[in-house]
Amino acid sequence: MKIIRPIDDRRLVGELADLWRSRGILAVLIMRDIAIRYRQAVIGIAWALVQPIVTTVVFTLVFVVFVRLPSSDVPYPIFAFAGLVIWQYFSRAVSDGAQSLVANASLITKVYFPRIVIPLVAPCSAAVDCVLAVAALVVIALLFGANLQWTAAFVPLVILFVGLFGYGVGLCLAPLQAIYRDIGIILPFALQIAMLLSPIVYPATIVPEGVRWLYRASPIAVMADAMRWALVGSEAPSSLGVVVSLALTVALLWGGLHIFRRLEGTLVDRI
Amino acid sequence: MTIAIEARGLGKQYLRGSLAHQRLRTLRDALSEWGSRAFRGRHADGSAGRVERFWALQDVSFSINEGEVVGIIGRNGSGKSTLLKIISQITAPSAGEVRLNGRTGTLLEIGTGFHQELTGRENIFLNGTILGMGRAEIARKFDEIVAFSGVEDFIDTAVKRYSSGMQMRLAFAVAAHLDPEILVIDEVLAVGDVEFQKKCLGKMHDLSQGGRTVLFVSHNMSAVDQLCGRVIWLDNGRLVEDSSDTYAVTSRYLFGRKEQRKTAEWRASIDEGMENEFFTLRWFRVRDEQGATIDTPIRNNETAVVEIGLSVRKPDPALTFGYALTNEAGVCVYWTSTEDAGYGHRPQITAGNIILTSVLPCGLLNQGVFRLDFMSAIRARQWLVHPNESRSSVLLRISGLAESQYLRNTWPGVIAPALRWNVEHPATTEAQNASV
Repeated sequence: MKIIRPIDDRRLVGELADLWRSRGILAVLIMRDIAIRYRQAVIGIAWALVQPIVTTVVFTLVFVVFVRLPSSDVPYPIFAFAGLVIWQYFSRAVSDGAQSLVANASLITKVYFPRIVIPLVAPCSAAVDCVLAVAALVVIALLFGANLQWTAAFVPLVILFVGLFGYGVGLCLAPLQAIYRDIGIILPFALQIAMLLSPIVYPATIVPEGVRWLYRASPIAVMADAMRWALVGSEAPSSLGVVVSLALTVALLWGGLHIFRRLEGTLVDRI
Repeated sequence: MTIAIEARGLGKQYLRGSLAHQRLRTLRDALSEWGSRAFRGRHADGSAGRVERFWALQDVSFSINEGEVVGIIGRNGSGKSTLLKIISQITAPSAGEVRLNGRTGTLLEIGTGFHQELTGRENIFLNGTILGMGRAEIARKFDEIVAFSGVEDFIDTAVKRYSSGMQMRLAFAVAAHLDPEILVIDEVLAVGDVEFQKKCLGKMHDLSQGGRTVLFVSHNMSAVDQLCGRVIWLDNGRLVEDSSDTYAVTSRYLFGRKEQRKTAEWRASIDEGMENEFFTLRWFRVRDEQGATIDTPIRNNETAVVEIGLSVRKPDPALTFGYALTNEAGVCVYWTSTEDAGYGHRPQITAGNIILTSVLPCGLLNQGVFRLDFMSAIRARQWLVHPNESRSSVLLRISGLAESQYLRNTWPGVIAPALRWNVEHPATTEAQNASV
C-alpha cells in the first residue's frame, strides 16, 4: 500500500531504499550518458584522454617554460595531470549534476521514479572518463620513471570520494537550478575561479604562508593532493584537510538529500 | 473486493499563471523577498498577496476497485492531467491523500525517455526500465516487443533514422508490454493515425479484460464508452459525476448540459425557447419508427427519424429548415435542409403547427457520437439559425456497423457506408457465351 500525501513523510532510510530499488534506472541512465557522449565522434572515447592531456601540456608550457616554477620532487606534468584529472571529474560531476533535473525535465514530468537518482547519473558516468584518464596518468607516470607505491590502492577511494563530494554539491544545486536558472549561469564562472584559486596546477608551496592552511583544508586541494600522494608518493594531504573534507562531504550529502526531499514533490510544477 | 485506488479530499493548488510567473522569478527575487521579510518582521502578507493562487483540483474523492476500468473526462484545464500526475506520483498533492494498492505504471506520453542517438534495442531497454520494467523482464519480452513494433530490420539503427511512425510503433510496443497492476494512461490515443489508434484501443481492450485496474483520460468519448465500465467527469477541478452509466455521462458531457438528462431530444419547455418573427421551434429530436425518442446507441442501419416540431407564424416560400451533422472530432459530416429536394418537391411550409421529418441515411454513418444542430434560413437572403450558433442540438450515438464484424472498433473514415458489392466471372461468362 502506497500513500501519497502533500508532504513526503518518508524517512531518509526509505529514500535510500527507493534509490536502491531504482538502481536499474540509474544503470540505464548512466549507460545512456556514456553511449551518447562519444557516439558519432570519430575518435570516440579517446576524447576522454585528449582533454586532460592537452590541458596538461598547456599548463606545463606556462608554468615550467614561461614562469619557471621552482622544481619539486614530482615532475610537473605528472603533478599537473594528477590535479587536472581530479578537477575535471569534480567539475563535470558538479556542473552536469546541477543541470541534471532541467536536462531531464521531459522525463520527470512524465514518469515517476525516485528523483535522487538523477543527480547521481553525472558523477557515475563522468567516473568512466576519470578512470580512463587515471589509467593514462599511471602509464605516463611510469614513463617518467615513477614507482608505484602501495598507496596506489587508495586511488579508487579518492575517486569515490570526489564522486560523493560532487554528488553532494549536485544534490544541493540541481533543485535550485530547476527553480532558479541563475545557478546555471553562475556555475561555470564559479568553477573556473575555484580552479584558479586551488592548488590544482600549481603547488600550495608557492602560496604565502599566512593563507596556506586555508589551501590545505580546501576539499578540492585535499582531493588533488590525495591523488598525487596515492600515485606518485608526494606529500600526503593534511589530516585536518581530510577530516574537514570528509565532514563537508557528509554535510553536503545530508543537506542535499534534505533540500532535495523538500523540493521534490512540487519540483515538476516549478521546473 | 479490494480497493486499488482511493482518493480522499484530493486537491492541488497552483499559482495563477504559475509558469510565466515562476520562470521570471529569479534567485534575486527570492533573496530580496526573504531579506525584506526578515527586516520588516512579519510582513509576509504583502509579498504573498501578490501571487494569486487557484485550485486546479479540489476536494476530489473516489475509490476504485481492483479490475475496474475508469475513464476520466473533462474539458481542457479541468484537472484531469493533474489528477493523473498526482496518482502517478509525478507531482505532490496540496491537500488530501491517495492510497494505491499495487504496482503502478504511468503512460502519460508514448516514448518517454527515448533518445534519438540510441538504437531501437537500446531504447527498448531505456524506455522499458524508466516505465518500471526490470531488465530481466524486458529481456524476456524483447522479441515480442520487437515483433509487435514491426521494426525488426532497424532494431540496431539509431532511432533518429526512424520515421516518426516507426518511432511511435516502437514506443507503443514497449508501453503495451508494461504489466503493472494499476495502469494510468493519458491521451495516448490522441496521437497517430487511425490504424494506430485502433491498435491502441485493441490493446487497451485486452488490458481491461485482463483484470487490471486502468485509469484512462481521453477526449475520445466512444473509446471511453467502449472501454470503461465507469466514468469520472471533472470540471473546474471538481468532480461533477462519477457513474457506471458511461453512456449517460459521456452524452451529458458532450452536450454540455449536465442538468438535462435526455440529450436525444430538445424541447422548448425545457430549454430557453427559440423563436423569431417567422416561427417558434417547439422541439427537435431523433426518434425511431414507433415514435419513441432514441436515447440509446443504435446500429448505423437502424431506422432513425429526425423530427422538427414547429409553430410557423409567417410562412414564406423561401423559409427552409434543416440540420447539420457533426461528428465528435468536430468534423461536419453533412448539412441537409428542406431545400435538398428539387423545385416543386419541397415540403409545403404552412402557417400553424407542423412537424417536419427526415429519415437518417441508413448504413452510412460511422460509429461515434454525432451532434445534430438545428438550422433555418430564408433561402439566399438571411440565416435565421446558423448551425454553428444553434442552441437546439441533440446527440445521437451510433455503435455497431451494418453486417460488420468490426463491432468494437471504428472503421476508418468520416462515414462508413454499407455498399453493395457484385462479382463477375468473365471467364465463365465467356465460356457460357461461347457454348451458347
